[in-house]
Amino acid sequence: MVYHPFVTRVVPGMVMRRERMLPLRGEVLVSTGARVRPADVVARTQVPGEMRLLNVARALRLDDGDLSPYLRVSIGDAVEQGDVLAAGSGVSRLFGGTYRSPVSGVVGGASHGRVLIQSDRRPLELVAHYRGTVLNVMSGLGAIIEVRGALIQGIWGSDKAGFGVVKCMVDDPAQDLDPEAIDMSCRGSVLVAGRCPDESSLRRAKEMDVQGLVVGSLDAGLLDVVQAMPFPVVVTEGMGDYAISGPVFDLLRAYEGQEASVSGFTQPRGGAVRPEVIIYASFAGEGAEPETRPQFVLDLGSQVRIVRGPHTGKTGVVTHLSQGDGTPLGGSRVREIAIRLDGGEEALVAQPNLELFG
Amino acid sequence: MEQEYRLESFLVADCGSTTTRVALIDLVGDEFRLVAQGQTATTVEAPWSRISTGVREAIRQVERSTGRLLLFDQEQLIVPERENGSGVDGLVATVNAATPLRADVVGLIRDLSVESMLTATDCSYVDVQTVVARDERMASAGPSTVLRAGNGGGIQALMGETLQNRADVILLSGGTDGGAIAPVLESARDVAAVLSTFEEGGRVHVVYAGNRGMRPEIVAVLADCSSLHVVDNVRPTLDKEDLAGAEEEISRLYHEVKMGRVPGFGELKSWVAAPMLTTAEGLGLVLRYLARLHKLDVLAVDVGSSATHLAGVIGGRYGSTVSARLGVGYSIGRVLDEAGLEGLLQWLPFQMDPGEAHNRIVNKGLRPMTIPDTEEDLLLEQAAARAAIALTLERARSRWIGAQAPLYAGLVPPVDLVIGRGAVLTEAPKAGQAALILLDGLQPTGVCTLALDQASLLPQLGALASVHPVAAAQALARDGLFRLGTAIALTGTGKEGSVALKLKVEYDDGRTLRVEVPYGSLEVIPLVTGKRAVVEMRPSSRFDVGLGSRGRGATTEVDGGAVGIIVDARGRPLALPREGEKRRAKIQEWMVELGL
Repeated sequence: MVYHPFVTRVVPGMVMRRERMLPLRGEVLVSTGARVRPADVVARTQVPGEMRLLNVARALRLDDGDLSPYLRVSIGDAVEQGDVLAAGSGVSRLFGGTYRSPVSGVVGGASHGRVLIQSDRRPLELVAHYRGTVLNVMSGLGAIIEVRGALIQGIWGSDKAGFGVVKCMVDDPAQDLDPEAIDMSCRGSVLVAGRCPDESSLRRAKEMDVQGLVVGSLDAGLLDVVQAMPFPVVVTEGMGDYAISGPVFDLLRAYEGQEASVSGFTQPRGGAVRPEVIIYASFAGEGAEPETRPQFVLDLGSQVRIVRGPHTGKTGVVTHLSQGDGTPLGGSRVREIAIRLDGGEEALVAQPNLELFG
Repeated sequence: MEQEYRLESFLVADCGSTTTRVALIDLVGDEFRLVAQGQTATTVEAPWSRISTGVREAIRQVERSTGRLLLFDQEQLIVPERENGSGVDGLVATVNAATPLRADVVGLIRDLSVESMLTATDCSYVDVQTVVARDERMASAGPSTVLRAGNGGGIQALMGETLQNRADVILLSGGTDGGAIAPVLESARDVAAVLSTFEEGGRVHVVYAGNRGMRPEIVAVLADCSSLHVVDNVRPTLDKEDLAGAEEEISRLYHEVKMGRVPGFGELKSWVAAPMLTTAEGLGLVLRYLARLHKLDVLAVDVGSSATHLAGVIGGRYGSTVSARLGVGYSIGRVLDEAGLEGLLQWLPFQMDPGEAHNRIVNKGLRPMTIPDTEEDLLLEQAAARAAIALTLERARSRWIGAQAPLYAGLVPPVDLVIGRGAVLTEAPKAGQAALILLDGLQPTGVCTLALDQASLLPQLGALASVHPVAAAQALARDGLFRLGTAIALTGTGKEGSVALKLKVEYDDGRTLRVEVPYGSLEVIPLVTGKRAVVEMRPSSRFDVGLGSRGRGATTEVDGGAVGIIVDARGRPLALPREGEKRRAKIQEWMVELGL
């Protein structure tokens, strides 16, 4: 038995809690116990666009920076370009001291002789993104939603979220996404393929208003294009030419036609966030396991996935925990683990290149 | 700290962003020695979210390898050491598992106060997001980020934009003591106006390190809308830089805002016998100790998963540069951004498809704990290490690695000892690989000992020194450094193949070896660990061996090591052949010479 801290969750039925939080304080529109669907708005706020910090005191030649006697606007006031923000008096009036706003916007603040104008304030509506029940409301900030479904964690994702029906575009987990196969029937779907080979597939998916894409791998050279797509892309294995792991593909196939929430948000450090697909299979809630901290023990029989080297993406079970002192390339203190791959093949893999899986 | 028992055994831990290591230091005979080590993945991120989990696991590994009980009920550390030999007398730890402190730098003149403040940020794990200087528009600090042009609204307009990014700290400087007042006050008011607007304003730290005479005004403007810290002016006069106050405050803020908020930090803190240091601080203490004790000029580079740290003592002056976003694991993508694919691939002895290299690098960043599985993968990661070192050195050179002699302008001046640490170096399969990474990345000049912190102990020994200096010193002397050998690096350029150095090596058994080393080559002369030899060096008129003068010869005694004596006659600055095939052939030739 060996402590082994790397885990990827691929679970057919799980009860999860997911936070939906506004970037700025606003108004929460749901209450505890409410049932929500992915498109439901759960909270809203106003987000500022461009900010302009205007040194009004200097323009009015006020040495002490105290603007309050001269201000003609208050915080929260809407102003148009050319509106008077402040007007001088006394000596400064001799210099024709009137300060007009160079931009339209809302007065965000006024202090230390400056006035801050927030232009292009726009409403932000935060949708539930998940189907579930509101478990808790954080006043003015957001809500926690309890979700039941299948969970598939990815390794990389584009910073988007989407919701749609799972649609497998390939029969084989190693097969490329064919742009020709992306047609009107894909509208609103979360597409699944082994690999995203090129830009044309992505552009076609965009044209067809696809809601998400789950692939085993794609080329790192496509990352900028992927990030520019309006839908989330989740990569399950890594960059390059890797098929989707068998168990991941099987789970997605099993739940084809079911609705899924796809989140591509990835943050490796400072509160790690992994991209994920949650599928609301009708039977996924039955006997669903709670999302607890996973076990970190690698033992004989543990289900693992290989995450580096020629067997990347392959899954199997541990058959032997080597007592050996290392691998030829990977450093002297690294243990090797024997694995029987799902296809029956045996492989010896450095422990850091494995993760617990399932 | 009051102790009612003698301190005779310690666990020393280092929690990096990817790997946590724990070592047992104990009295062996009458000397403190490294007895056992354990290492595991750092458990600071989800789903573990508790740094102490990994420390416990590494301690359990030490338990298994020594048979000594260290954790009570597998949970609590047994302190002090018991009669039956279980437990230890204390634990010390260094940490760099936190994310960097996000800072904006605001000042008056880009080349004076702003530059000084940027240099001060090198002391710790700081990610400078934006730089605002009143004498220019706004430029972001990193070469990888886009220069943003002014929008016509002046610096005040840009400031609003700048401060929206919610930095942890705003570093404000400007004006010499007794000098400019109005522009400094203007900058402070800009900052205050924006902070006052945001609800979160009060939580943003502001460090003021400008004109001393402005302090009352600065307090009046900023105290109510920020968490204000006033320190000594980084530029008290035009020609004097004083970074100590700013560096101390930046380090303190990193401890408070970042390190102290690492999940599980409180539990780890409750175990330790001395204040926890950052890995960079611990390494700095050891380097200063080594320099003082042995009267050495020393340079160390720590290539980690998320950060690269270059520190040293040259001419009695300590300097340190932490590149908080350059590393060979989590931060390998940033190395790629800054060095470019060509900058990495130029170090490979074989051709690699750029797309394939890009894929491998991104994958390493996504799974930084994984280790190379093929020779190609290994050499690609080692190439990234060279680039991370070179990029960090570039910053350090412009700030503290200043060369006295004109011959070394733009180079690392001769030092006595070069130390490498970080798994990419210490766990390189062959010692020659680590030596070559150090030579390529740092390009040391003159004669120096190359060593590795093989046991990954140095920062922790720095922390241990505050509790038990003797234990730290003895463990450092006996187990701290793994000698790779002695490098003799020639400065200058010449004609490929022409003799650059004539060398006579007298071994202590009386044997003598005479070698002529051609320009452009690397030559390894056997000298095993524990042996010394007297080396007589006669460089040609175009080359210097670290004496500050071309053609000047010298005789010196050198140490052996795992590699031996490495004569680096590739010249300084090292210029790789531009043409791909020729370059790869040359790199292969160097690798063969080093037995790789």
